Amino acid sequence: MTEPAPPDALIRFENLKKSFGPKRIYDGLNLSVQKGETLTVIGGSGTGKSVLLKCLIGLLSPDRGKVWFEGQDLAAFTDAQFQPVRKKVAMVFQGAALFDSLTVGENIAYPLYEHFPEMPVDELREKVAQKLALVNLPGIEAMRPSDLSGGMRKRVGLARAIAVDPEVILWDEPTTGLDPISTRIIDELILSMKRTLGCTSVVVTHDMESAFAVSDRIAMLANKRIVQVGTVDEMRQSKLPDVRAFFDARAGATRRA
Amino acid sequence: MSGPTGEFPGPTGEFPMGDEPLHELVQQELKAIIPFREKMNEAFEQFGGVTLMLWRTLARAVRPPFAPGEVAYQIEVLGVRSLSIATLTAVFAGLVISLQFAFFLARFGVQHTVGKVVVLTLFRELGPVLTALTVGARIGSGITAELGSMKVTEQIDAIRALGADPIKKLVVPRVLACMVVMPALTALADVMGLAAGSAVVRSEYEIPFEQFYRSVVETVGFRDFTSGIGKSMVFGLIIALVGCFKGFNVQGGTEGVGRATTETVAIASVAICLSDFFLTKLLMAL
Ligand SMILES: Nc1ncnc2c1ncn2[C@@H]1O[C@H](COP(=O)(O)OP(=O)(O)O)[C@@H](O)[C@H]1O
Ligand SMILES: [Mg+2]
Repeated sequence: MTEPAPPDALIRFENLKKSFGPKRIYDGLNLSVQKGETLTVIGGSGTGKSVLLKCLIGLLSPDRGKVWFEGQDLAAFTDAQFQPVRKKVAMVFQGAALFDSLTVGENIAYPLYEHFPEMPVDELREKVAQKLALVNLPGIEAMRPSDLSGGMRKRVGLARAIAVDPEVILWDEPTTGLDPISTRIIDELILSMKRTLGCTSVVVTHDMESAFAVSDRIAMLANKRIVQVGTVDEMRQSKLPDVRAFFDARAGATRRA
Repeated sequence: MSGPTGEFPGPTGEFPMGDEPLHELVQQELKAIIPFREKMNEAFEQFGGVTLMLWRTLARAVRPPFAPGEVAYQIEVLGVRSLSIATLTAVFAGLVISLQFAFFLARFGVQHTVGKVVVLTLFRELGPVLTALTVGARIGSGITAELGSMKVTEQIDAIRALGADPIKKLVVPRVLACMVVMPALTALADVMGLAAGSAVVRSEYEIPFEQFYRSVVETVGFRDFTSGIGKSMVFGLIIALVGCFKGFNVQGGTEGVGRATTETVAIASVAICLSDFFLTKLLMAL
């Protein structure tokens, strides 16, 4: 517990093990994320990509291993201990996970209210407007999530995630199920979060186009661990059969589509 | 059958102790029992889960910040919209038990005392239990459907990720609302059932209202009323907890929500009937 995290990595998964009942998801997974980079984790469906993000934000906890973030091991943190972490690490959920019973504005104000209950209403309103402008959806505070398209919901989900000005954004399949134009918009937003806000991003996806467009590095999750990490070019040239199979299949799928 | 001990099999005799045949027999027996045992284990797990949820709910309900607005909203959603179903059930229950009791008492020529039996049955038993079963099915399944779809669309995860507590936000208001709504609806059911009962015995057995209500007032005590109301409060707690628990633990997408909703109705109904017996015993002992 006293062993410090390596100084260069902002996030480090160390020898992570996780099972659901008899089903083993990770068996000794290691991965580090540098401050300010955009790292994409690719892998097939059900390999545990979402679970990895959820371990980092405390929605699930690993059976064994460490989850280092800013020199703290989050693996055994309670919900209460996670509170300060959740101000710095935010998640954009796969289906956006907007609260249907609230308006768009109330959705974005939700984390602000939870983390800063003292914040005056004017400031709250201003922040909400500012975040909506950041995702290019100004002025839609009064709309209901059910009235939004898939791409817009994702963007509102992003606005809600960045409401508390986090340092790290976790993206769970941000472009899955979106049309090509919305996909382009989301890719652009992932890049701009890094450019304008200096955020570190961990993106989970199986959309290779998107991975190539946004990543500084790509990590391949297979066989219950990370089998390779590298830049886009390094991964393209990989000789590992797991990586090859994934890249070739995806390239084929993209061509066919 | 070859040795002298063959007819009196003992531990060292030919009784197949530890031999293959017995072993297989035991295995077969176990196989037959296992589904039952799994069911039992599952039942205990669920019971444990609901108990844990009760504990967490209590711990959070007493700690600020409180959300009276949310509780009021749930009272409206769960309660006000159940008024018609509660009334309808109570009216017909009142009609049928009054008819049955009057019919039964007429055999002894004492049908004019029907008000006594009807009021005790309604206040002590039928009011709370019937209301809990019918309204409870509606409320409990509604809670499971709502929270279950929040679960499968990751809204419950989102609540936690955004720094809030799903039990505090979702379970506490629903539990409190149910514990207000069930007694209120039960009181309504008591009154409606009694009114319907007095009307039907007046037209069928020519027992005037004055006589019916005089025997009601002579018989019924405050305790008869409050014991029913007390029970309904516990039923409200059970309905809300089971509904929330099943909703929070939905697995397997939209299909899972449907399954959980049905299970809520079954579990809540059985739990109401079981707890009714023990509550009645307890209240009689007090
Ligand atoms: N809360 C949970 N309970 C049980 N099993 C889970 C849970 N979360 C995920 N799993 C299982 O873990 C595996 C990996 O899930 P996930 O990380 O969502 O996959 P993906 O890589 O597609 O995002 C899946 O097989 C899933 O069924
Ligand atoms: Mg996933």
